[in-house]
Amino acid sequence: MARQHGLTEERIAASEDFENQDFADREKAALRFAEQLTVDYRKLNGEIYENLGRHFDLREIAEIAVFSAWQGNGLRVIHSWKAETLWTENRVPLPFTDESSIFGNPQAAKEPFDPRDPKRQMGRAAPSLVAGDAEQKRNRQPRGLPAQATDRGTPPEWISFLSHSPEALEGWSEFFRLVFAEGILDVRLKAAVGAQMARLLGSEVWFESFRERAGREGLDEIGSPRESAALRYGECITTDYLAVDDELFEELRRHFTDPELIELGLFVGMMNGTFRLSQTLGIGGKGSQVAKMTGWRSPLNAGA
Amino acid sequence: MSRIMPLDASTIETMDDREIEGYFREAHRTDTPPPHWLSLLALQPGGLKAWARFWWATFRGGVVDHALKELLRVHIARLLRCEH
Repeated sequence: MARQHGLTEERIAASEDFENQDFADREKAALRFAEQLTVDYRKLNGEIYENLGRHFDLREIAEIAVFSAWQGNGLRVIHSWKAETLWTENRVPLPFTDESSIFGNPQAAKEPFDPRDPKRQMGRAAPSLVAGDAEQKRNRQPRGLPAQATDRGTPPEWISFLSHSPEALEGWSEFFRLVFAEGILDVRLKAAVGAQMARLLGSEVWFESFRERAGREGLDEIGSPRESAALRYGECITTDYLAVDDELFEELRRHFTDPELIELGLFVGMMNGTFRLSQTLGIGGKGSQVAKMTGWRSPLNAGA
Repeated sequence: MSRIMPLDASTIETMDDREIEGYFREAHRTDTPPPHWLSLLALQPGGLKAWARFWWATFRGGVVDHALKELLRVHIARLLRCEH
């Protein structure tokens, strides 16, 4: 599938040893950042960010960072579900495999789809923002989401970082709204799981944010087998996702429906990525540890 | 075998949700994300939309060269496979 996105098999194979292969400095900077964020975010130091900053502006850094944060942690959740077997074995029938038109327009089925495009949603073909030129993309502005996200207890510094990229801000905020604030699981349960994961990853600001929310919702009542199972799952994904074994998953299934497990997994994956990235950026009351060590200036404050 | 099985195809099609249909058709067109992943998320339609809106904004949209993001995606996946 990667070939459809402009990658050859040779380049994919070469990227395994990208430092010693023929990749542009810009590509190496991004790969170095994504690799460290995925493998050990605590070693993602100012030097890696400085190098990234030599090749990308803040908008691009926010986009790369948020995308990489999900990718690294979402895959941990996917593995905990053993869901990779679905697309490697390919035995489950899929919907919408016919060649019929999308939204009543045959041409639209051949064009890139963009959920943000209201005209496309109305069943009429319209130029896609995704397919737009670079200038069109550059001129996009976020749509009033920072205040909404901050109202939900999101640390302002996190929103400040995301605000460098309209896409990162909209995408993350929409995810947080639908999965955390408006999902099918009890907000109190998700807040408790979030607080525990933040504590394990050392993110005080996120820990306080979720602990405050959980307390408002009745944290003191946490402790049922259902809640304990969710907390244990969040802990495993955070510390050792390979430890999610059949026994733990059977325990989860005793207390949660499949739709609830999907939501729990999405929340755990995205928040893990958010907390890890937040730590590398120095988001929190103690200031940037990275900056203290290296003199690196966090993109949080750039342009302020 | 997957610990959670996807929502069956006919149920997804009868949701009559154009946004969800759009994600599937685009996934069939490009193979990214894997359509089976969307079928799994369809068990919780709000979760599917949350993830897909995020993904479309940051992976399909944005200003960073799409081929570079694909390179990052593949590299991260390989890193995690190496852990087990």
